[in-house]
Amino acid sequence: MSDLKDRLGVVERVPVPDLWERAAARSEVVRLEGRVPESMPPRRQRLTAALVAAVVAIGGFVFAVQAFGGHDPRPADPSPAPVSHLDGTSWVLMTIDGESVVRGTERSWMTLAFRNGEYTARSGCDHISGSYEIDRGSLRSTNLGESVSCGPGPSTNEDTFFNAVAMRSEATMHGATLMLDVGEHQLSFVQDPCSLLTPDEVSAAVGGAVEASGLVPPNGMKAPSFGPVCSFDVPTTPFTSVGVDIETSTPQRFESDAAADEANFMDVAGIGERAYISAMNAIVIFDDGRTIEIGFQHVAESAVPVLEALGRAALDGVGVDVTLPSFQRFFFRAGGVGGVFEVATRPPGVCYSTQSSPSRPIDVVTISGDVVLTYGSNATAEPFCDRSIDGDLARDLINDASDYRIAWKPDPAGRRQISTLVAQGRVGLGHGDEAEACSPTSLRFGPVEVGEEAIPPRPHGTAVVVHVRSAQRAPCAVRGGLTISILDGEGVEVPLLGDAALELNRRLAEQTGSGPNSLTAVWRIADWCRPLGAGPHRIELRYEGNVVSRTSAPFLDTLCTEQHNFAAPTLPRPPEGRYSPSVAPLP
Amino acid sequence: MEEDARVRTSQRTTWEDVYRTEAPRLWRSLLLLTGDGEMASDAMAEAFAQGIARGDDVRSPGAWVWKAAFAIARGELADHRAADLSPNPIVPGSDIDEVLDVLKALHSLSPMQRSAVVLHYFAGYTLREVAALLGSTRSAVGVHLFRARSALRRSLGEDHV
Repeated sequence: MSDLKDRLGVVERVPVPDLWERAAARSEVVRLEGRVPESMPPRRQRLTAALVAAVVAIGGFVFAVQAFGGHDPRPADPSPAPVSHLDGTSWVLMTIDGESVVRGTERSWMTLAFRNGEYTARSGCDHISGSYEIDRGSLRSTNLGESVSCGPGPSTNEDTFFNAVAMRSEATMHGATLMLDVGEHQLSFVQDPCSLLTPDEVSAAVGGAVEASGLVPPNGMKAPSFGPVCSFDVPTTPFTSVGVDIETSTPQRFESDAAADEANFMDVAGIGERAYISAMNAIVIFDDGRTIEIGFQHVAESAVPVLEALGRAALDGVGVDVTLPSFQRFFFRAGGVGGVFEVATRPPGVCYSTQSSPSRPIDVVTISGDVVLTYGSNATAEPFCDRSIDGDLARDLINDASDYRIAWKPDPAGRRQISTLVAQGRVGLGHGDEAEACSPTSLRFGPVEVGEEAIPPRPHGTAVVVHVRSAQRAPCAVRGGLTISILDGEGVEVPLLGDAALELNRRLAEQTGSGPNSLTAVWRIADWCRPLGAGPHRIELRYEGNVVSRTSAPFLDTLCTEQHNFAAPTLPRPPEGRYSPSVAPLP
Repeated sequence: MEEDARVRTSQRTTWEDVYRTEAPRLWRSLLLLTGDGEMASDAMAEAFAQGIARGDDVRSPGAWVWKAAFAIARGELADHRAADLSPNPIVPGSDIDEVLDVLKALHSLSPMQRSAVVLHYFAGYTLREVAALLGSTRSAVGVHLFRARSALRRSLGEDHV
């Protein structure tokens, strides 16, 4: 990729005009007028509309930074994202209602793991398991499969933990932290620290083989008041053990901890948002709302480079995107013959089979005709699986399969045909002919009605109620992928505070089978009361390739100034962001 | 009144420092994004003007001005989506053809893809920082970069991407 950097670097030869005086002069106009004068040329007015959008977006960011740095133990991310997929992830409980549960107050770590549609919640040897489902950010235990208690009886926190998992909860991601909100209690989890470092990464950093790894202490043992959550045994080096500790944190708490650690001696740049090495046996990293501490036991020599390598390895690719499915099944069909194409991201891989046996060779091609995957006549296994595909490609296939097609010959003697990939569960109720009938491009929206029944006024922000009628009868159903955009009078898209902040509730009305489908969508638009470009607004709904819009919605135009007259929120002054850290230099 | 003037001067000095530090890299990034020197200048000047006017309300001027300038430039691009590159958008000289080749290749990308490529591969921001600047997520930026690389592979040639 350095070639791309080099190619882009040709602009270094282009001289940069000095625009400082122009910007300074223009700033006086902005400051004195308090707004953009109407006499400005049209282009400038458009610029200002875009700037308003930018400032609003930045305002949300600043608000989030403030919340992030406050004393609220919830690691407030600017746009908490509803969780849609958790399979393949595991988590360690950090707090219940903001109170830490990991520092010697419990007999063991409480963990929650999701595998193959089932969950396991564990505290020591007590555990419950069962199946689960996630529907629009709502996590629900659908079937309690097993409940084992082997200790002296659960503590209050364990009781809360097990009950919360077994109940319906709202699951959101705040940065790297998973939050479960069951109404009465809020639980925060961080990613299982054992997944931050692989044994290979530890082995490469310390220069010795790793013999064992896992959560410590073992299930059933009492947790120590300090010490790592996860450890790796490295018996052949001066370091007999590498441990990983992790907890949710804030910049202020990290700063306080760093200041209190009199033994720390080295500030480390370039690892996480802030890192230091304490007493030569641990690297402490603040990153994405959590503190990660990686330390040695039985250090025989200074090992700063090793600690730095471990720190970098722990932060490399640890992000778990639980807003994107880790698995998706697609159907494709041509000439009366169908096939199934499955994509997974953890680990990356694809499997496919066709109705003919053995499976027909296929090419996965982009809409521009580029072949990205080829499975030829050797793909005789049923189904044929490829576990060597690129992870970015797997994510892209799941994220937007409309960019890809299957090129194949359903009939060996026939001509080559191109089939679209139809995602199961997003559109349509079946596969084969039904899937074709309900392909993304066949679904048509009817008129969009913007409801007048706004959610009651609140300090800031409101909701917009949108009714959509589908022009098509069952069996097509919309289960996801519907997005909304609101454009102001000058065509500038109003920045909304992330998908998570938008969606309050979306439900598909009951299908009668005789009438058209009716979809009621409710989007909460926080901080709606803000200046917008003049003119009628437009609300757009998109579903795959279909776009439907309604212009001049009076509800949107007048909501702020005439109906509710919301006061602009007064935000406390935010702390410094990561671009100008307020953390004092370490000695 | 005198105090106001001092405060303003102080703010101006701070912003001027930011300008001297950030302007060369920011303007060239905007040039890569827009393919148009005038549009890059408009966006950068407007971003700094708005930032100067806000004074102390902007806590991290360096990051703020990048975010604002890119938002302004993308707004401008939305209005000029159908327009081609200016015939002589930048500066005369022997390098103009090479620069134009790069700008034309970038022009084939969507504004978000282009923004991600420029911020990551030219300006040197990490994926997380690019996501913050664009109001997106790290994974979404990763997808933008993946698609952008695929497209650039076709337009710039396999060897260069």
